Amino acid sequence: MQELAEKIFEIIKDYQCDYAERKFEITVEHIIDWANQFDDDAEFVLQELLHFLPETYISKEKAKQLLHTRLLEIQQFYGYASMTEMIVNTHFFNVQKSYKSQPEILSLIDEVLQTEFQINYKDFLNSPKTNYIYFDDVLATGGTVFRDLATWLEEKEDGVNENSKLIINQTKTLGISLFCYHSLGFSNMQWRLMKQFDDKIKRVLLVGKDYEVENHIKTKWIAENQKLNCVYPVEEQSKEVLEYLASLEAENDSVPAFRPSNLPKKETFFSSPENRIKLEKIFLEKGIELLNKVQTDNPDRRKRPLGDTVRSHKTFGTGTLFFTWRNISNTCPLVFWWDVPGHNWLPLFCVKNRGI
Amino acid sequence: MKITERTYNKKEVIVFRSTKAKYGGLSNMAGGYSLRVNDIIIPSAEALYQACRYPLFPSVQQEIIEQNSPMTAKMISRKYLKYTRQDWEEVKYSVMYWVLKVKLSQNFNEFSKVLKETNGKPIVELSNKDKDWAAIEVDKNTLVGKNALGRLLMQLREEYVINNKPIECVQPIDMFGFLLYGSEIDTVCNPNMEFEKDYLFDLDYA
Repeated sequence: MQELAEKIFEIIKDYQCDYAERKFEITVEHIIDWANQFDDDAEFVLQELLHFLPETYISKEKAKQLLHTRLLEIQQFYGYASMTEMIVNTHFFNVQKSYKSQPEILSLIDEVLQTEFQINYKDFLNSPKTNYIYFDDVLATGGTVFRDLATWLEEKEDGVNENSKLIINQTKTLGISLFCYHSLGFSNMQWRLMKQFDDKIKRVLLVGKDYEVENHIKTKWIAENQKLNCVYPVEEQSKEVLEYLASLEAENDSVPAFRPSNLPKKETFFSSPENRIKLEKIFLEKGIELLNKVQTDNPDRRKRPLGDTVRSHKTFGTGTLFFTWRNISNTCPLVFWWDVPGHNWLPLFCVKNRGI
Repeated sequence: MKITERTYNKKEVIVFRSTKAKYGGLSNMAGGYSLRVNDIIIPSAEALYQACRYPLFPSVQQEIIEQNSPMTAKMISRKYLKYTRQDWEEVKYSVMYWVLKVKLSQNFNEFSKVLKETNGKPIVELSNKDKDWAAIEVDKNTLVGKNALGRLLMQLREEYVINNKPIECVQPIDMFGFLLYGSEIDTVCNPNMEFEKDYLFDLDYA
């Protein structure tokens, strides 16, 4: 157990390293204390976590590398001879609140541009722009990216034409860059942009991503080709779990609550199909146990055992297993971040900017 | 469903052919009328109709649906004609009407506008050789053909457009093997309804 915790520590030790008000630093002891809450399954939980964390935890250094690569890709894609030329012509959206992910990513981009290319992009904020890029860390349901892009697309930056028209006629370009997106949320975002603006937006929207959570399982053929690299339980569950699902006030059952038991066709994310089922059950049951401790007449309908999701979706939650150094996504299973006084639960990753 | 051949006086009907010309939106090849069935975005009515030919071949359906151009989707479909469902000739008109209902439901403002502009006149698709879905010109004023698409469009106009009755949801056709990507086709709804009910995401929280 100690050895497992040490290996995990090496991966996640920089979690919130740049956040002065962090509740605690990640230590080997903290990892063990968290795991022990799973009683006899403690070692198993750490084993599985270690199996997928190397691929799904983005440290601050890794984030800088990814952003460096992305900037070079953007320069090459647009065909600019130098990074300076790209920066002069490119606007980075800065529309999220100061405590959200976008400003933090922009400050990393600033650092990368200054150290690797000796460019201060803020010197060029007022130069006329051709390209517009929206950086964010994770797209889960797609709501945030949709809202921010839709707001901008409706505006008239030149005072004459809606930005959507300039993007469609390719006078300007629009791109999004993400460390991770969920395939279902991304498709939902695309669809709503198409219906609100123009079908062509699907073709002209440029997308850069480093990791995809493949959770789009409504149709068999697509589902069979998805990795399901998230927590997506099978239907065979305890009476309590099934009762929890039945009790949800959520009218939209078009998103499946369960994955078919024969999927994924080939297990590439967890250490084995059996271990996937076991871990999914552990996280699901523990998550329900935590939610049952909430004493309120009006519980938040987005809060689900496997992580926040859309209120109307009759599911156990998003089940994200992708993490970044800056803050855990609330779409990850509750066991990772639930931190409520009196609930007697220690989270692995402390939440930075949101309560419950 | 059996449809018999008809004769039209060209001066008395609305004729459509090119997607760029007036009434071009009536064509299944028209762009700007995207659809989504079982959470799969489909670029045109033509792509959806062609995909329905091959319910047991999801990879063929995917190849058709991935084409941005409806004409290319139709050409891809032609490569696989031998895999067409066996009862296609019996069900194809029902499938087409379902496709048109989905097109109207998910694009009500634009599509109903074009249908309204036909002012209740007969609608005829003009073709050089297709006397099944369209009609051909036999002389300067006469068009002859089954004109199946035009007639289905008239039926759609009658049922939903004249009364300004947007289709909230379209039920699947009750037939064996009505599949998209290996799954039974679900009820398909008007996206505005889905957006208003926050079925995709919660914008107040985003």
